[in-house]
Parts: sequence; C-alpha cells; structure tokens
Amino acid sequence: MTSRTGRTGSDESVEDRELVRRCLEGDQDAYRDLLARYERAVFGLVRRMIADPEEARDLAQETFIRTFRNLNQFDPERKFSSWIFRIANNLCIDYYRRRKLDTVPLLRHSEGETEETWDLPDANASPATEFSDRELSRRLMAAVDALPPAYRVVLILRHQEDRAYEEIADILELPLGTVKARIHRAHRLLKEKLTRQGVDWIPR
Amino acid sequence: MTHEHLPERLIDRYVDEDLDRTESARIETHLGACEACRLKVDEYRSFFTALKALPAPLLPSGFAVRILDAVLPARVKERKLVRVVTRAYAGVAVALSIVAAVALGMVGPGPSTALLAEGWSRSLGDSMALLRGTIMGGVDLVLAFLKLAPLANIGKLFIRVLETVTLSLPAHHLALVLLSVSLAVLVLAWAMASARERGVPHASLCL
Repeated sequence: MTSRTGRTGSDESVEDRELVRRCLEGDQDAYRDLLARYERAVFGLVRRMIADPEEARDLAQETFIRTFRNLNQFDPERKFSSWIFRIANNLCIDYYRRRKLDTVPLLRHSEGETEETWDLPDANASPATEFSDRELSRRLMAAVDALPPAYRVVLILRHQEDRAYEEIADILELPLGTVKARIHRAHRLLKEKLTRQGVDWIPR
Repeated sequence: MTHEHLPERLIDRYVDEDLDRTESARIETHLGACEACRLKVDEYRSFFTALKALPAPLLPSGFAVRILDAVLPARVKERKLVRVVTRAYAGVAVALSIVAAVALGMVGPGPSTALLAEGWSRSLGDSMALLRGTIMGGVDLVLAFLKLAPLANIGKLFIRVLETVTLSLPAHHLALVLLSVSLAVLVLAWAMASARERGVPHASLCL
C-alpha cells in the first residue's frame, strides 16, 4: 500500500544492529557511534515535545542512558530507531503526566530563551512567498508547537525524522489508520492556520 | 472524476507518497485535466517543503558527556579519578594557603604594601638562590639513591635540601610564593571541574 518508505533503508538497520552487537561485546567506540547517529534526532524530537530546554536535555539524555543500559533487551528483528524513539516518546508522556500537561498546548520558547538555540534559516534568504523563509519558519514552528502533543509527535516523526507511517505506528504503538488520520489532521490544521495568517503557499 | 475535484485528504496522501501505484496513476490522470487540483497539489508540496525545512534544535554542548559517563565503565572510573584529583588539588590549595597565612603572621600583623613590594623586588635573586640550592640538593639526593647510600645519609641530604629552601627565603617571601602556588592550584582545580562540565577531555589535567 505505502509507496513512500521514509528512512527505512535496510543499511541503517544493519549498521544499527552491528553497533548494538559491538556495544554488547563491550566496545566503547560502538556506544559513541550509536550516540552520534541518534543524538540529534532524539534530542530534536524531545526538544520539540518539551518546552523547557533543560528538561528536554535531561529527558533526551535519559533516553540514551535507558537505551544503552537495556541493550540486551533489544530485539534485533526490530528497528533500533523505532526502539529508541519509543523510549523517548514514553519519557515525554511520563513528563506530561507528571506535569499534567497532556492536553495543554505547549509554547516553544520559554522565558529568556534566545533564537541561538534554534537553527533558524538565514534572515536574508529570498522569500518564496510574501513572508521570508525565516518568518514562514517562525510562524510554522509556532503553529506546530501549538498542536496537541499527540499530533505534534506524528508530524515531527514524519517530516523532521522522515519516518515511514508504519514505523511511526510502531514507535507510538498505535494502529496504522490512527497514525494516518492524525498526520492528515495535523497537516490540515497547520495549513489552514497559516493560510489564515496570509501565507501564500505557491510562489508567484 | 474530472468533473469533481479530488478530496483534500487524497491530495495530502498523494503528495506524502502514501498511495500505491494504481491510486497514484488515477490521481495523475485527474491532475492532467484539472488545474484547480494541480494548484492544490503544488500548495501541499510547498507546505511539506516548509515543514521539512523547520529549524532543528541545536544540540546542547556537552550533551554526550552525561550519557557516556553513566554507561561506559571506563568513563565511570575516569570520573571518579577526576573527582579525587580535583579534591586533592583543592585540599593542597587550602593547606598552602594556611601555611602562607602562618608565614605572613611570622613577619607581623599583616603584609603592608611596602613589605609586599619589597618581597617581590627581592624575589628574583632569592628565587635563583632557592633554585640553585634545590637543584644541588636534589642532585645529591638522586646520586645517593643511585649509589644506594645508607638511609641515614639520604635523610641528612633531604634535611639539607629543606634547609636550603627555608634559609633562602625570608618568611614574607615564602608566604607570597606559597600564596601564588595555592592560587595556581585552585585555578587548576577549577579548570578540571569546568572542563568536565563542558565535556572537554580532561585526562591531561589528571597527569
């Protein structure tokens, strides 16, 4: 059914499995390599799900610590990426429960946080619409951040991490149909919101 | 099909490559004849491009340090070593400061500016004498060890080196030297602690 596979290349899985095997044999370089492969993706997901930068850093680090300490429980038949993203997502859910924020839209920038913590596009980039790339990014990011966490996470996994629908369903332990419905709804909410703000999606 | 526009959900799935070949071909046939739906597809493509180009959060500096410290056995040992060495440095600095304070007490209620200035002005000559005496004593000590001299002689030589050091320096000068050394050791302890915080390799500082 699905023609687009996202980042499901078998090379990635094979390399991950090999690194996990080396980790279990006590190869310390393998731990570093595995960390280097996933640190940006895991931190990226957690940082977008958790508004507080310090909490996000701690949760992302905790994700790796739990993953590495439980490597012996990793099923080589599954994708390592799904496993580590699932651990990250579960830690975020636990965080929401602790803070009772599971239904409250989160704001991205906490007080005192500057733009330096985000890799924003160049301010002088040529505008594709009436907004500059930078302004469009800012508005889109604010709209993503205003989504409920259940919609935000599917969007991030799909478009930032380039994960296939099937893998997203595996990560979130949800039926494939639910994931597709959420992604589509998130697309519609975002697109409509930005269109109302005057974004013209087709460069003229 | 050409008389009705494609549902938005179908366009979304088409652009997101979530349709099989048969469905995609059906959509493309429609798009060939419907400009309004083609524009909608272009809108979705532009929207997805913007989504994928969203700024990525920058990884905090030293992100990997806590993780590797927690999971690598060698890093756990190294962390303990750094903690011990850092504390040792801090302890030495405190001890040197106390000795310096005592030495300053020997020359009066406190070092006046003039006294400090005099101490520093004489420091070069005194330091040379101290260095010369220490080297000579040290060489004697090493030679004694190499010749496997009796322990009594080694003890005497060691005392001679100490005498050279203490006699070469006036008390206030000794105090200033000790204060300088204790400051340097404190800076080293701080550097080790902050290097670890930033995740900088610190093995060289341990040595």
